[in-house]
Amino acid sequence: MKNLEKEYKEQISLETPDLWSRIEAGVDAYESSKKEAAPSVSVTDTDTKVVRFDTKKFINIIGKISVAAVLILAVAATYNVTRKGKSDSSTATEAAIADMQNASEATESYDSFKEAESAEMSESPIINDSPSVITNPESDSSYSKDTYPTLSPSEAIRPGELESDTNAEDSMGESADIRLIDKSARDLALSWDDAFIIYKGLTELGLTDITELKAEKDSVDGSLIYGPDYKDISLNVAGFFAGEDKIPYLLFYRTESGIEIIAVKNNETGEFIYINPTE
Amino acid sequence: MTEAAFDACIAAILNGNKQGLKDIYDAYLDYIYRIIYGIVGRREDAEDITSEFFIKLWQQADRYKSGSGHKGYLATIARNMALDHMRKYKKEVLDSFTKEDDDDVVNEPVSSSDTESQVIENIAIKEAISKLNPKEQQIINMKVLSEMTFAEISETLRVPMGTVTWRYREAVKKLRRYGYEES
Repeated sequence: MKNLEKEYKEQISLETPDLWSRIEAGVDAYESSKKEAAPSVSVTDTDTKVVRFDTKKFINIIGKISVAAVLILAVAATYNVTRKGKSDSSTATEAAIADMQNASEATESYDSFKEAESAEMSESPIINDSPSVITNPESDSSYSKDTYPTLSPSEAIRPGELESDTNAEDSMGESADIRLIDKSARDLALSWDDAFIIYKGLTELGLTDITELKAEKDSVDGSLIYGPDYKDISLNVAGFFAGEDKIPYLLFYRTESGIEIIAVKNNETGEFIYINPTE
Repeated sequence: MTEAAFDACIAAILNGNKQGLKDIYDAYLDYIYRIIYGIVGRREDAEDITSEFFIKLWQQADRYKSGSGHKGYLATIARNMALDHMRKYKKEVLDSFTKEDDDDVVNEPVSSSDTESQVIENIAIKEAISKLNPKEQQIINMKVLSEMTFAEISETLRVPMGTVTWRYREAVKKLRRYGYEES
């Protein structure tokens, strides 16, 4: 008996053809196709054209980039300026709020002052010594440098020192808008900010018992009175009473860069008890 | 061929040296051709697939992992290529195995009086194989030439493994009558 597996395998091996030339041809064909396919992913003449350095194009691109950069910088600068403006406005708003708070405090002190005045009016006799106090405060026996520092109106009432700036006008503008609701009120009103600063300035001038501080609509042209409403007008006039005998006074002041008292006039005698030295 | 020698051949192929492929070809052509022939059953098809096998080995040499047993690696690739060919072009052969008809008795030259161990004639192995019916030839080829297991044959031909083993035993009995027995 013959071995089935051995006989069969040997027989098939004997029949196995020589396939090497065929296989080699296949390998060569594969390598050729591989080399032909390779240039499509490597640098070729066509690829070189694509990446060739084009000076004009380069300059054109650089120019466009430069223009874009300038535009971006301009936008950024505008944005920063806008932000800064907003920040300043915020600061101004905060200052205005602070001023309003101060004005409120002034109102309270003004009310208490008015109440005290009423009480004194009912008790004290009328003493007409205010002019001497104003003309020469240091000669008055009641004058004290601690209570009334050396008066230098132009210095004492300077815009910066009065904690007021041009932005205050904005807040005053708002106050003016409110006053426009009631014309009669508008005619007589002073903003709390102005009233506080004026009251403080008048006190530094030596005036006491100041009452009924209000705009004098009949004293001058109305356009002069309502400075905040007419921004090109610099002079404002207000009236008030001072001293235990309630002497009427007229106050001339500016508001462009904060409240600045120009002059104070005794409205009974016509005598100016104070004129700003800078005028 | 040793593992080291095979690794050297693969390295040569990866360097574009065809001698590496030629060495593998010389060592394993018979083996690969036999495996493929055992599955496809036709000389022309076996030659085509064997050629494709070595070209593919050249193309995909980088996929070989050293130390994994190169002979088994080669046999697996050869079988898969032959089976792919079978599925594409020899569908009728595979379909015949799923039919219920039994053509075992066809071409059966042995008379009923002969015993299984009796050699009735000495013929060449290929002629003896040709005496088997197609299903038996397929299983003998796969088992002997392609060195497939019964399980692999069962899976490839999509028939129960019991049927495969039964047909194989029947084929061996017939071949014994022609002077061949399994080792």
